[in-house]
Amino acid sequence: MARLERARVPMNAFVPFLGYGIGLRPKHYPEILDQWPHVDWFEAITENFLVAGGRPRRVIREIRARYPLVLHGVSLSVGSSDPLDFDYLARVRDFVRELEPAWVSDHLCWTGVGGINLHDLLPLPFTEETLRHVVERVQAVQDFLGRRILLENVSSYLEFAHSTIPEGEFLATVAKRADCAILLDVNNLYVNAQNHGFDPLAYLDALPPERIAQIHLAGYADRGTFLHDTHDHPVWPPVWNLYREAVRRFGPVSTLVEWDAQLPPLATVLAEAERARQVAEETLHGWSFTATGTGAPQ
Amino acid sequence: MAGPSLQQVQELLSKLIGAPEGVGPALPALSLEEQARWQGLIRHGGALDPIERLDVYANMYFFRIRDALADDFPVVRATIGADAFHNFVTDYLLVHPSRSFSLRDVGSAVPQFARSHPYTGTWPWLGDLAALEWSVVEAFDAADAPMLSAEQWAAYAAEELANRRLVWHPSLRVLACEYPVHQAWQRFQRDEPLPTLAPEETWIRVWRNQERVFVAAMTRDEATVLRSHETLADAGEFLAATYGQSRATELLANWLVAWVQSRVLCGVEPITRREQR
Repeated sequence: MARLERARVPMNAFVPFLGYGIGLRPKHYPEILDQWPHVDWFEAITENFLVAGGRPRRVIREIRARYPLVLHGVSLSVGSSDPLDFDYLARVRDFVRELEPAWVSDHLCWTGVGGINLHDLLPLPFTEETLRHVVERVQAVQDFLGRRILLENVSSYLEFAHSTIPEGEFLATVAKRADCAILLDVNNLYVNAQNHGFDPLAYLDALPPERIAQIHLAGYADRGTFLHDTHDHPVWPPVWNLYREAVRRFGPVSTLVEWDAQLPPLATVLAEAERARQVAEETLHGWSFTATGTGAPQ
Repeated sequence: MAGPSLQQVQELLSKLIGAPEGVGPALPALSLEEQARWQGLIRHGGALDPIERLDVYANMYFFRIRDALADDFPVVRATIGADAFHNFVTDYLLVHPSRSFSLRDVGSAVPQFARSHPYTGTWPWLGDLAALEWSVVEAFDAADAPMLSAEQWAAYAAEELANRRLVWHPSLRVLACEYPVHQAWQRFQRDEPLPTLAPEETWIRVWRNQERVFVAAMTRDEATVLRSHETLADAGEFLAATYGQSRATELLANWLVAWVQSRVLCGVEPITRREQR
């Protein structure tokens, strides 16, 4: 019973509870703008809108006017040994001021070095050196943007032999020391646990509940020798199970379904978001949660 | 013993991920120091060995960028074929790896690269075609601008217009080409077979009207006015030198109507006294 009471309100104090949303993808723009479907909120890829004008900017303004919206970046490269790209950050900051998203997130990874961008979310060695480096840079980013950010755990296909800190502990420590929040990608966690043979529940137990501000769900592809985070399938049953475990630990957390490749009709993605709502509410013993967020700036 | 530094790890992985032949074949080309660093860098275990694990990233790197370029240069791809396009992208990334935060910019050097690529021996219009397609990319998300309606335009008195600066839509691009590549672009849009092009000096404008990008050929004189003449007075003077005053006025009047209707021209603005000096 104590757990139920605790779970009635979102635990994290950093962001509002937006409910259950989906990733905004260009292929769905016509349906969204035509039908204004019922969905709690959208997440937009920041870089897709860092352009001067045209359709992308018009669409995002119209959607922002009707729905809570958050920005999810892929180019921060917070773990790179290159200097932070303040030109990029200035564009993000200007866009954030214009759009006033509920929050801004990016990934715990690096995307390139030596000025070259590999356009991928590459894994970090989990060492004390990396920890110091990332914490310092997250703090610099938050100072520059004037707001707390969310950092997401990435999927990975390799581990470094010289890593000394378990991934969950590493993410938790970054969040605590840098005073940022966590975007927990449950699919990525499952993929990594399978690819690297660790216990995903121990990972969840290492995370600070009060900092879990958002959850991602997605579908992976089974390549036979490894799981590939492809975002081209519905959420698989073991990921739903892990989501239940996350909700048991963290209470209601704003949850978003990502689908990028082999994109189905909008209704299919929306149905996945509704399923996330059902799973969360069943897990929390029938409590339903009203979104507390309007998407207003925090 | 301490492991490699974060920078050492990232420089090594970046080199291997970007190697066109894949991770395994790239290892012998590493320096001895790098080879030593590679040994034991990635944890063994599971069904994949360290090379296969890094190859997952190497493959994703190439295919992600190849697919982005295929989206931006569909007519180039259709012209040379999917296999040749694959090789073209491989060559391109060796010279122009992405240095932008955005995949949107990854093709910015393709026009320049295509002009000197061996494929121009078979398709000599490749550089022009790539330049046209990149202009379409740029026009798509160029800055917005308020549009001048036909009514607003008609309200200007002729003498008021003469010395005002013509304000073109920010998406406008004017291309001077050696081949009529707009024909290939337009046929591709209509799903028609692509032509073999013969050399022909061609001027093309690319611009966005509302949210649709347009491509149109034009005369050298019209291109000169769009590129080089800031005011109607300047443009009239330039045309009069070739055609005489009366024909120049007629030409300019026709173009103005077309520019306003197609929204290539989005306004006029006063020239400051300092600029006039």
